[in-house]
This record gives sequence, C-alpha cells and structure tokens, in this order.
Amino acid sequence: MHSNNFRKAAILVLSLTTMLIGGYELYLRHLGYTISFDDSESIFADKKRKIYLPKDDATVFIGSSRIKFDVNTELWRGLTGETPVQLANVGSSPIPVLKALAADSLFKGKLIIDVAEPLFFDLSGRSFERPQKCLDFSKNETPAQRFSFHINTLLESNFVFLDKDNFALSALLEYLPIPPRPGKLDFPKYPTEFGLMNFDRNSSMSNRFVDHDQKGVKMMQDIWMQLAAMGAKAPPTPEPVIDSFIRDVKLKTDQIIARGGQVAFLRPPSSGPLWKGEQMGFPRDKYWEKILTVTGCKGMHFADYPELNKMNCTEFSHLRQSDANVFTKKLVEVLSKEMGWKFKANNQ
Amino acid sequence: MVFNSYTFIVFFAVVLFVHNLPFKWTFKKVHLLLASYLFYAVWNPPFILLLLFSTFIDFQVGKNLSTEQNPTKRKWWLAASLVGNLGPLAYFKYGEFMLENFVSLSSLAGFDFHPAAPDIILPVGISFYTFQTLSYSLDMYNRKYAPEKSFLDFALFVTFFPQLVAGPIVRPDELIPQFKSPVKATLLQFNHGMFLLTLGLFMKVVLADSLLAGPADAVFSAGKDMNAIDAWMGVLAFSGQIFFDFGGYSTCAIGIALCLGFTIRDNFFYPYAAIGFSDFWRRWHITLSTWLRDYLYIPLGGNRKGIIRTYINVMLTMLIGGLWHGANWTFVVWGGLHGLYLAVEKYIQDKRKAHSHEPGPHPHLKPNFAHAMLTFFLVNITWVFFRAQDFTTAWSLLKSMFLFGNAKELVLNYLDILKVSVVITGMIIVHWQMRHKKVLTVAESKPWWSVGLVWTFLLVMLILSQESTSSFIYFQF
Repeated sequence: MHSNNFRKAAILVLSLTTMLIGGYELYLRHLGYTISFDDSESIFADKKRKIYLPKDDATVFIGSSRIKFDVNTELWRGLTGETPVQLANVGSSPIPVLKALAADSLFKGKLIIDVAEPLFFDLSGRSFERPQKCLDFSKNETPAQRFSFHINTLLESNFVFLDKDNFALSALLEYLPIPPRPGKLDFPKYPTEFGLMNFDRNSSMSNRFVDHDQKGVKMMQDIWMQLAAMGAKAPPTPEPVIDSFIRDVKLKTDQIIARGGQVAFLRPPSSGPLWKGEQMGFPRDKYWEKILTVTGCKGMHFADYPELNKMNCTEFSHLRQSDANVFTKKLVEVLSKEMGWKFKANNQ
Repeated sequence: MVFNSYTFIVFFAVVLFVHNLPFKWTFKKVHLLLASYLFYAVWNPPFILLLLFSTFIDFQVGKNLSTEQNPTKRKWWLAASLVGNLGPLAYFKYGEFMLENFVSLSSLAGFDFHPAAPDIILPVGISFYTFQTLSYSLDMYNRKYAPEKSFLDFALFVTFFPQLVAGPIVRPDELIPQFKSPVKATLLQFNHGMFLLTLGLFMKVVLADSLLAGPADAVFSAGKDMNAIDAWMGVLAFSGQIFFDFGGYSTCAIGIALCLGFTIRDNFFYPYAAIGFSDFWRRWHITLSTWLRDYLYIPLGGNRKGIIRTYINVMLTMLIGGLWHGANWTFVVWGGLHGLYLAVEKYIQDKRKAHSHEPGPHPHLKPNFAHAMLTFFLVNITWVFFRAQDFTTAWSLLKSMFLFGNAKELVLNYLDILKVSVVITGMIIVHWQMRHKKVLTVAESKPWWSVGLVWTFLLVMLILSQESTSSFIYFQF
C-alpha cells in the first residue's frame, strides 16, 4: 500500500469513527439518557481536596450509597451557602474515610457520617475496600492523572455515552443473553437509570426509573433483600467486639472535634422488608443509640421525624429525588436548629 | 504518564506539533529531551534526579573507558558504572526483598530481628533505563564503538520518552545514530505510526484491561482452591493480559517513535505461535532476551565451555531474568522454569541431532501447531508463578488446574468464560497465522478500505471501552 492509500484509509477511519460514535451519542440522547459521571477514584480525589475549605464553607459527607442518594448536594449548597463534599462510597463503610479524616491534622471541618448499619458495622473488611482504594489513589495521584481527570471531566460533561457503568464496552457485554452460571452467585447489572451521578458525586434514580421501570425496581429490591439475607446468615458479631468498634469510632470523632471540627451521625431512611430486617438485625438501642451515647455526638434518625418516617424508598433503600429534597431540607433544619450548627447562609 | 491517558494525547499532540515546526535540529532534540523529562516527571518529579544521575555516570564512564588504556583502571571505571546503575536498582527494587530475606534467615538462625518496614517507592521503569544505559558502558568497555561525544544525544538516548519506562530496551548503536541528522516522519511513516499506536492501545485498553484483567484478577485473588475450568480460564486470561498489556505498550512505543520519524526495533513477534522455548524467547520481550544473551549469557561463557556449563549458564541467565521482573521468589521460580524448559529442549535437540542419520545441519522441527500448543501450555504453567502474589496462591491454582483436590468453587461467570475463550482463541489463531509476518506488511498488502475498516473497528472499540488510566503491568518492573 502506498502512502496515498494509507491516507485514504486514515480519512475513512476518521469519518466512520465520527459517524459511529456520534450516532451512538445521538441514539442514547434520543432514548432520553442524560449526562452521568463515573464514580471513579479521580473524582473522589477531586472532592477530597475540598475538605480543607474553612469550617464555615464546607460540610463533608461520608458513608454508603444512602447518603449519596438522599442528600441533594445542589439543594444543600443553596440552603447552606456552603460546599458539600461528598466522600461516601457505594456499598461501603464510612470507617476508612473517617480514619483518614481523623488522622489528617489539617481537617477541622464539619462532618456527617451516614449510618447504614449493615455496612457501618461490617467488620469483615469487604466494605472497606472501595473507600481504601479511593483514599490510596487520592494520596498517590500523579500530576498526569490529575490533568487527565480535568480533560475527562470536560468530556464527561458533554457526552452521554461516556458513562462506564452503563455504556462502555464491558457494560454492553453484560446485556448479552447469557444465563447465570449454576452455583455461582452473581448480581445482575444494575438498571441504567438507577445510579445517575452528578459532578458533586451526588447519586440519584431518575423519575423514569422510579415510576415506570417496575422490572428494574423489583430487581433492585431483590438485590437488597438477597444482600440482607446473606448478612443475616453470617454469624452475629459479639457485643464486646461491637462495643470496642464504637469506642474506636469515638477516638476518631474525638480527634476531629478536638481540632475544632463538628461531627454528626445520620440514619437515612429505608423501607419495607429491608427496614424491618435492619431493625431486627441491628436493634436501635444496641447500635444507633450506642453510637450517640459513646461518641457524645448528635445524630438524626429518620424514624424520629414523622415527615421522614412516612417516606417510601421505592426499591427499599434510597429516596427518590423529590423525597431527597425534603430529606435534605430537614437535615439542614435539624443540624442548625437542634444541633446548633452554623451555616454561611444563616449568617447572611 | 501512560499512553492510555488523556494527558498523553495532549502531550503527544504538542510534541508532534513542535517537532514538525521549521526549527533547527538541535532545538528539536532539546525539545524532545525536555518533553521526555516532562513525560517522566508528571509521574513523580523527584525521580528525574535518578535518571539524570544514571545519564551523567554512563556518559562520563563511556568517555573514560574509551581513553583509558590501563586494564585495571578500565575495570574500575566499569565497576563505577555497575555500582552507579545497579546500586539504585538494588535499593529501590530489591531493598525490601533483601531485608525480608535477611529477617527470615536471622529468624532461622535464632535471632529475633524486627526492623522497621521500609517505605520504598519503586521509580517507574528503573529496570528498563538501567539496562539501557548499562549496555552503553558495557559496549564501551568492550570497545564496540566510539564513545558518544554529544551529551545531548546521549541524554536523549537514555530518556527518549516512547520507550523510557517499559522498553523496548534500545541499544546505543540503534538509536543514537538516528539523532545525528534531522528526522521527520514521512506521511507514510506517520500513518503507520498512528496505526500502530491505535493497535497498541486496542491491545492494552480493550483486550488486556476491558476483557481479560477482570477474570484474571478474580481467579488470582480468589484465595482458595477452585473448579479446574475457572483456574484454567484465569491463567489463560492472564497469559493474554500480559501479552496484550506489554505487547500493546511496545506497539504504542514503536508507533509513537515512528510518528516522530524514529525507528525502534520490535519487542514481540507473535510469541504464542512459538515452537519450543528458544523460539519463544526469540519472540517474547525480544529486547530483554537479547540483552541478557549479549551481556550475561555470552560473558558467562555461553555454550563455549562444555555442555554442563552451557546448562548452568542458561539457568543462571533465566534466574536473573526472572529476578529482573520483580523482587519476589515467585519470579525466580518463573525464570527457573523457563531455564529448565530451555535446558530440556536443548537436551532433546542434542539427542535428536546425535541420532539423526540425515546429513547436514541440525534437523529443525517442522512448524507444527501441536508443538506450538504444547509450548503455550507449558508457558501457561510459568505464568501461574509470575502472576501469583505468593507460593500458596500458585500452589492452590496448580492444584485446581490439575484436579489435585475436589474443589468445586466457582469464581467466574459464563460471561467471563466467554470473554476469555473468544479472546484467547482469537489470539492463538492470529499468532499462528502471522507467525512469519509483520503487521504493517500485511496491512500494506490489503486494499485501503479494508485497512480503514479494521482501523475503525480498533478505534471505536478503544473509545467505547472507556478504560483510560490504568497502568501497564510492566511499569512495576
């Protein structure tokens, strides 16, 4: 092949690739999909850099998916006038991030810790993996990785197809009609619009998913119940171990408070059989109340507020967007009125 | 900086633009040198000093070796280069390993020694650039060619960014002469380079990261005995992953250099079509195996000192080659197994030769797919030790693979098995079909539209895979 022929091939490549990728993007937009960011280590690291904002300028959230779904960060920003720093991780314990914040002498800010008991009290280490990976990346991030993140953000902000969990090659392969392998426990791929994420790392379910995707909602309910059943089968953690764990949490929260920081615990809603199972598995007096008593921190439990208690998590574990707004407003109200937290917006 | 990152796309676009501006050649070389330092520094800036140290040492040692006539002093200069290059390598790469072994030995001897765990960061690519600069000093010692007079050209040889952190390990006489006169890629070279870059990224991002890394990681991190199918699929996935990862990097490096107008020799030549282990090492990580042959095996005596010494030399070379890959005894066993295979192969070949009634040269094996598959099978056994983090994992996996036990534990799902089966089957077919061919020669023999369609497929898959920042496996070596 002569250079002219290779040039023709190159022109064909550019034209076809633009058409195919452009067509894919237009197709996804036509189906109603919107921009969603990947929950990568890079975006976690980007948010973590904001923990050093002054105490009256930011609040850090740590925990699991519940706080990511249930606290609307944009609304939080509007209500408080401050920056929400979302450091929670899906399916994870807040403990690794709590430890990192406690050990960081420069962190002196406001901190809200999500208590989803099955994850908060999971001492197996499995729920530590994801946050630890994010923290390690954050610590070792190279200038090149940070630069790539900024370019990636620019691209992800403009292209729907750049959503690794849903539209990347590996995700597309999961749509192949391949039966589950007998004897191998596998969870199906989450529905596309179950976990949309914005640049604040705030996750949400689309209204289309909640209201119209009954199959998807049922799938998520089954997944949560299957996970809960697996947790229930595990041998119970002895009470002295739990007590020791809570004392360790106290040491961490004390370190932050001693530097002038503020810490509150938050129990977001869950519903249906999942909520019943969590009440049975983690009785409030032995877990939630004990955390507050031992640490001396204040907390907000959704069940204590009628307007939150009546909320229904469609797939049992997370609030729909409109309910997340109500929950966020209540949280700000409780923090400022009952716990005495000061927010920039209150002072203006 | 990794090739599969947005940072690199921006960096490479700027480098290409400046390289093609009508500046003086010296300016362009300074630009390439600074770009190479930047390429390295955006990973961990302080380690640039190590690179500079290695550059200065070998440039100076090369000069002195060329003028010094006293044999003893020449040996001292060579020793200075060896210490200057291998010293940092020993500290950064093998420091923790040596300490661990020292503690174990102390414990065996009854001493209770608990030193503080060192926290040593391995400078990326140190094994590669150390061997590259060391080859210059060794060639100077052997008076292979005249010393390089231009520090700029020498520094660029050491740091040339396409192959700086993971090879191919280039020899001074291959690269430095290319810096002597202005170089700019022709349109054909540029297109070839971009094609190779796309192919290399496809191998790394789509095949290694997106399709094979998951099953390989799941099996090697399972921490338990498992079903034989799962164990085999995990090992096959890794054998594909390591080839596509490292072969992909080398293909990218060659393509990037070609876009700038430079030629770098091949590092892989369809290794899984190898018939026997001598053939395998002529196809796998070619620049390392030739380095070890020229600077270790031959100086040890090669095959010139009798049959027993030949076997010992082969084994020593492969053991050191194993240790080069990583500071762990599992790598030594990997190298030892390859040494054993090579020794057995040589023994069989010598026996056949002795019993052959046919006159003439050594009777080669005819290219036989079954022999290639036997080689591939045995290579896979070695990958178990290469990938396993410890011997417990390796043994557990071998037991599972060869049904020594009744473990029925399932680790992979059907999709994983399908991915591994399709990619590995495709890989073997391509390697066998291409075992005597070069990809660019094949591309040139095809109509432009078919090359365009294949190239489009590679690029679209690359964009769709959205795996943009994972590091290359060989960076850790």
